[in-house]
Amino acid sequence: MDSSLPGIDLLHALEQSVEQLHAQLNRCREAQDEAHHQLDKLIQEKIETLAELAQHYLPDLSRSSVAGSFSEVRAELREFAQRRARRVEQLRDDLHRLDAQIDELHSAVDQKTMELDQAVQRREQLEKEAAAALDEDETFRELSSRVLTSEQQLARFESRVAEARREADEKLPAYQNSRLFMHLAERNYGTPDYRAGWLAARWDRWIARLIDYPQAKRGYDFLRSMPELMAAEVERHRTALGEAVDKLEAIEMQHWTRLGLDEAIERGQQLGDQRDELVAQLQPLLTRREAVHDELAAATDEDGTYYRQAIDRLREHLDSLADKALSRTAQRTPDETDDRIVADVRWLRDQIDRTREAQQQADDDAKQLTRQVKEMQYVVGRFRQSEFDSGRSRFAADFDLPTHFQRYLEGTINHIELWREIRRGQSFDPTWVEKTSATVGDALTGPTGQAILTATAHVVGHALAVLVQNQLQRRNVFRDRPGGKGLPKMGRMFTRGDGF
Amino acid sequence: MASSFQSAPEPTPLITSDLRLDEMTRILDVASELHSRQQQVEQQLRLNDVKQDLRERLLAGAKAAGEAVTPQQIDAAIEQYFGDLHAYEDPPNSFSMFLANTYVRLGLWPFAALAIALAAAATWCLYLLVT
Repeated sequence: MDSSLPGIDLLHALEQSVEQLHAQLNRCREAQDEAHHQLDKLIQEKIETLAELAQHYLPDLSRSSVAGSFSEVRAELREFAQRRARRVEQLRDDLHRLDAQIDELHSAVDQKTMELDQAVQRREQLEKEAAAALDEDETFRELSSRVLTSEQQLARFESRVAEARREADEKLPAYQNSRLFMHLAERNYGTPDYRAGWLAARWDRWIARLIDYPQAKRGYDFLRSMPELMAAEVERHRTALGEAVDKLEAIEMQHWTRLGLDEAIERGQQLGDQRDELVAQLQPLLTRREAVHDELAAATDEDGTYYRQAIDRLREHLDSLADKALSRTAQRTPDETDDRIVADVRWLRDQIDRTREAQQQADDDAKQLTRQVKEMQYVVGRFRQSEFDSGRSRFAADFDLPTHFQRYLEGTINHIELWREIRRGQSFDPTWVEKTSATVGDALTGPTGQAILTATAHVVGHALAVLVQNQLQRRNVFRDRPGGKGLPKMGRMFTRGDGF
Repeated sequence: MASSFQSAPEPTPLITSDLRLDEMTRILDVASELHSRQQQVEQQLRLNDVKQDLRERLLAGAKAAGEAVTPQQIDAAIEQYFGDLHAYEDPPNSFSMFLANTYVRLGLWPFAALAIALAAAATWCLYLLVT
């Protein structure tokens, strides 16, 4: 029984984690807004109270002049509060719009993933049927055997050509470095083109005897021409093999067409292209969303700074006024009203300090949650991009996502390490072709069109399985040659990744 | 009128199957050469088979002759033979090699100069003897 976890379940778990973080972030933002609102309110109250105090203590100041002395600060604060609200609102709108677009694209990707999973299943089914049909095809069996024998021979011939070239490279310098030999060879000694005077011809004849020139010339000519002649012969064999492979492919194509495998592959590749396109569209949106998150965090930071400055300014301004007023009052008779107002001012100051602490805490929490949401969205994006949500994607039964996630939340690992853990725990189920041709080796990575190779290996036996690998490589070479024809691109998955 | 006296261009001989004996021989020579080259190429491509065949024959020959030769020794001998095949080396240094190299490097001039010097010396000696 397969106890591994499907990739799609892990995706859902990750998405759920992101949603939880999102919910926390929203709650945190509400608290943040509440704290900001409260702070605004308290500051307004403090202004009012201080204005009252100033008016009480400074009878020479009329209500209008007191109002005038605070109006600048109040207006500034109000404008700032409005600007901040507008900006945050705009950024949140942007974020919601981007979230909606991303969700829409995610849904489209999920839809394509589902369709692709079905297409992969259909392809696998048809590949099995195609392999069975090829196995029963007498012509295909015979031609396969011939192709494999030729392939084996070609491999031997290629190795011989390389050997001959190596031998020529080793032995030719001895000829080329011999003055006597090259003197005769350059004068075409022993051929009708040889021209020399009587005396020189006698000398040359003597030298030719001295170094056994005819024998040496045969060796020289052999080393110079044989590797190329052998290579030309090998090329002839390769062309013949290519033609045989084309015939093999034509038979394969007949079965594919009859079974509808070619259409299934084409359809799958279309779906794969569409999914790749959607994933590509997602990337800029995710980047934009990250930027908006950053802007929002920066706006909050800016809020804090501005608030602090504004409040400090206000406090400085009003406290000096209050101190002045209190010092004057000390000289007068005590009054209960001033005691009450001063107590109110102190109480408001404490409240403002407390609210500022709460606001600071909410800001910090929001910043951390924003970062975590952003990072987890990155992980989910990579998960989809890497096609870990495909039907063939599996995680080991002991893969403990909650623990890894918890470690991430605690800060023991960062999001890159979390992604690395996920990648380490993931694997793709082998395709039917990979399962069937397990002995063929790792070279058979793409299932498309490899049914033929599996069938071929099946027909001729696994002893020649390694040769099938070579054949695969050659066939791709043949396909790329001018005038090469044949099936849809070999080794091509439906998408750019490994999931489909 | 002048044109009627102009000699007509030599007609290109038609290529027919009626070839002369020497032409046929030449074609056959070319065909034979090509065939021989093809055989040589095939033999070179299948050199490992050739070596294997040679090994079996040598082993059989050695066994028939009662020689105590191991297959490894036969293999080494074959490898050495094919390793030396088509290899070239100048003959060892000698006076002949010195002369040959002098001729190849400098041409006939040193020998002509030597001959003239010898002739002059001989003439001088003859003159001394006569006088």
